[in-house]
Amino acid sequence: MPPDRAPYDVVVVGLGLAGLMAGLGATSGGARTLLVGKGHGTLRFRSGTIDVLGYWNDRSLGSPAEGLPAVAAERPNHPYALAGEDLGSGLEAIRTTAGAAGLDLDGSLEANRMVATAAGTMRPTCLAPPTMRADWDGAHVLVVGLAGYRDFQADLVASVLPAAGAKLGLEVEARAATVDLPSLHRHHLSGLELARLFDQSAFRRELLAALRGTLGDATVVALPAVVGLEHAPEAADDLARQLGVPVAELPTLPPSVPGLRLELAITAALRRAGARLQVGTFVRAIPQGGRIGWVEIQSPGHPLRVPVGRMVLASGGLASGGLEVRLDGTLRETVAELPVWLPESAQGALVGRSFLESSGHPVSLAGVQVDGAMRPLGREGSPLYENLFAAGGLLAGADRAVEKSADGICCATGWRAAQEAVA
Amino acid sequence: MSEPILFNVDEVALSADRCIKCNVCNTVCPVLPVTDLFPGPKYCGPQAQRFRSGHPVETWVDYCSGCGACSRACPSGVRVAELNARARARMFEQRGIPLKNRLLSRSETLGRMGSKAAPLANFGLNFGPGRVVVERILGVPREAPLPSFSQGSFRRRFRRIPQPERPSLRVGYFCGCTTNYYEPRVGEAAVRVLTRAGIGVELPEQHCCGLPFISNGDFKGARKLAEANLKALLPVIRSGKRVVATSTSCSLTLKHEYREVLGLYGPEWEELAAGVYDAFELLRELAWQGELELDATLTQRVLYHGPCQLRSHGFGFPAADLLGTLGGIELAESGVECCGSAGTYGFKGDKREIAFRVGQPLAARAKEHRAEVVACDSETCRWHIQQLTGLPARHPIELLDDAWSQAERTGD
Repeated sequence: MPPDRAPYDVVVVGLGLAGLMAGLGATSGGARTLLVGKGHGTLRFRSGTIDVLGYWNDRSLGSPAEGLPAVAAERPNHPYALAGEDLGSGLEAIRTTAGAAGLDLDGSLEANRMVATAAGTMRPTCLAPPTMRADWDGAHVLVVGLAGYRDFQADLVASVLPAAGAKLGLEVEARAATVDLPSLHRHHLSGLELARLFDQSAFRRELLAALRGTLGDATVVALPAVVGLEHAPEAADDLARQLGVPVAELPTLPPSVPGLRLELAITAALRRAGARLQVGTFVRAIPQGGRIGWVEIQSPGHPLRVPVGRMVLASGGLASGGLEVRLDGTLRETVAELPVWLPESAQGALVGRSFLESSGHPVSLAGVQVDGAMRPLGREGSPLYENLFAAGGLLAGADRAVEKSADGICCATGWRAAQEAVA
Repeated sequence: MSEPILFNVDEVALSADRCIKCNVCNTVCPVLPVTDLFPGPKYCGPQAQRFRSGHPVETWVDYCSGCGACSRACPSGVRVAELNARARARMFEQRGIPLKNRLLSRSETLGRMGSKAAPLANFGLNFGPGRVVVERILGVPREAPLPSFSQGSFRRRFRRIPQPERPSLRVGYFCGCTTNYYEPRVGEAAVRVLTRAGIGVELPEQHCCGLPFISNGDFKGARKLAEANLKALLPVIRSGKRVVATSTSCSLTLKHEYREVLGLYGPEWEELAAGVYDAFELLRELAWQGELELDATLTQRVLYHGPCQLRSHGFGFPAADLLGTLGGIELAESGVECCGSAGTYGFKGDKREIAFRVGQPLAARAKEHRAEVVACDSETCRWHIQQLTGLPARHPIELLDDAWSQAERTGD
């Protein structure tokens, strides 16, 4: 028997960016909110930038705003076609939330900016921390590697960066220096340990001393994106001031320090707003009449039944477990057993021939179809449950990896779903 | 014809293959940031798992505290902590279990002996030279917090607590060794709270849950206790009663460790797991159904720490949910995964320093909140927290009992 007193107004399933955005929207609307999910979301391994729309129809976009009308016109079930209007408010919400934790996110829908990666390549993004902004054109970059840290090879970055810049019409010169410091002599060195070291001024002094002779004519010092976790802005400012040149952070392999900074900023804001966050369990949504009656949190032994006022489903796509491919090649949605839409192109073959197919895989477009109020649709095209809203990677119609649109979709649809859920 | 291969698949062992190397586990591990002796859950869990078949296991697996933060954080469902617990047991199988682990496991035997001669035993444990002996034999550093034996077990005291005349519900209380031998006051508070909520409480036959054996690598000993508990508790559950516990580590062992760590799978074990509840989980359920009004006041600044084992139950923080509704309370949550103690981990020699460092954020949080008391559902955590913070650490059910007793006295 389900409980009959709803302890929460809104239950959000999923702890990735879309779920957290929905949580921010719900709590700012005054709702008592529970966020629950199986594990932490992808922020901890994405790069900490907010990608909105980098490419459309194989064309690189100068700004997301420039491409949005085409998306809406050409792909009616694309999340931007449905919730594009909320993109501005969603981005503003994340910017304000990050800002309250001292983390700025620069940029606007009017321009994409190029961020350099740990492979030495450049890719477009919309919002990024100030440390990922650099004046690449005409720059003399000193790429600094840290001995023992395998996830950032300064030589590789310095050898690829000039060509990557040239492709975009940027003139970039780069050279590499890898510094070996006593503090780096650890058994295990990941980005996280480095970030905790960068938080300490003693380590920064050690690094500065080692860099002093190598700076030369450098106009930018590029480092892996591990410059501080809890005191990141302070660490980056301190380094830049002491070096006398700007510091650029290059996102590298997981764990993602900039992503973690952003997640911690959002979850802290959610807790301040009174939301309850619960990490660790699978969840099932149980229908009751034309609505979701309660969620069953799959705690060991017996499920915990939490009655649902309104529910936001933000459990992610295939990579996050929100969608699953069955052995027979059909897809299922794992929390509420919603119908999954598959593009015609995927009917015969879900995926292309190679893993990193530049044109994307047909299955990437698969997902849950929603109406303009983010309500999941049944096979006949009408909303299935009056109190269920979906957001984020779960939604059909976007090839996020090819479009570079994953974060923007989470912001727009998470925000929109929350507005509908508290309406 | 061959058997279908998907039959009898060990979900826990298989889960290692789901690791996508996203490193989320490493971002939550409380041990990794404070010591180089532990390489973190990703290496120690799914990565090392591939090399374990038939080979000796690395000794650093013993530095995993078993707090389970990694398993909870994993978006792909890898049972990292469970893999580590099994690997630790195999390591001890290969190398032999150290005497200190053998002794520390036996909380029931120690408790039974200690509480029979409580004044003498307590004198021995509080007295400098006594602690040197304990340090030598048990490997428990002399500054580690040890509980005092209680004079007379909880089982004896239980009979004196009046039961409701017409209970709305009957439960069997699993008190655990700590409540029985060291802290009967927690059990007394629990029974008072439950009976006041209209619940009839029985104290069925029971044994140590076996968790100390599991964390000290003695699976054989743990399985014996598991079998004994199954035999004692299934009849309670089959008579329609829930088994209710106040120690969230004992209840997690009954619900989860028996199956996923000891590998005791089967319908009876599932029945046991399904029938075990945390006391606050039950009370919260009643509150959600409108069958329980707390209606009491507790004017205290409380820091609530949901211990790591409670977090693995996946039912949120029922104690904090209920305490938060008390009038006058200034309640804050610790927001940290683990206090460092993680069962007997923080009591063992070189791990004490690690446990202390892991606990620093919790101590800072208590200070920041200007807490007068720390509430925590797990016993070893409370003892550790008391040392970390210098504050009294109490079971949340004791706080609820205080609030209700006060309400009764003032006739509210």
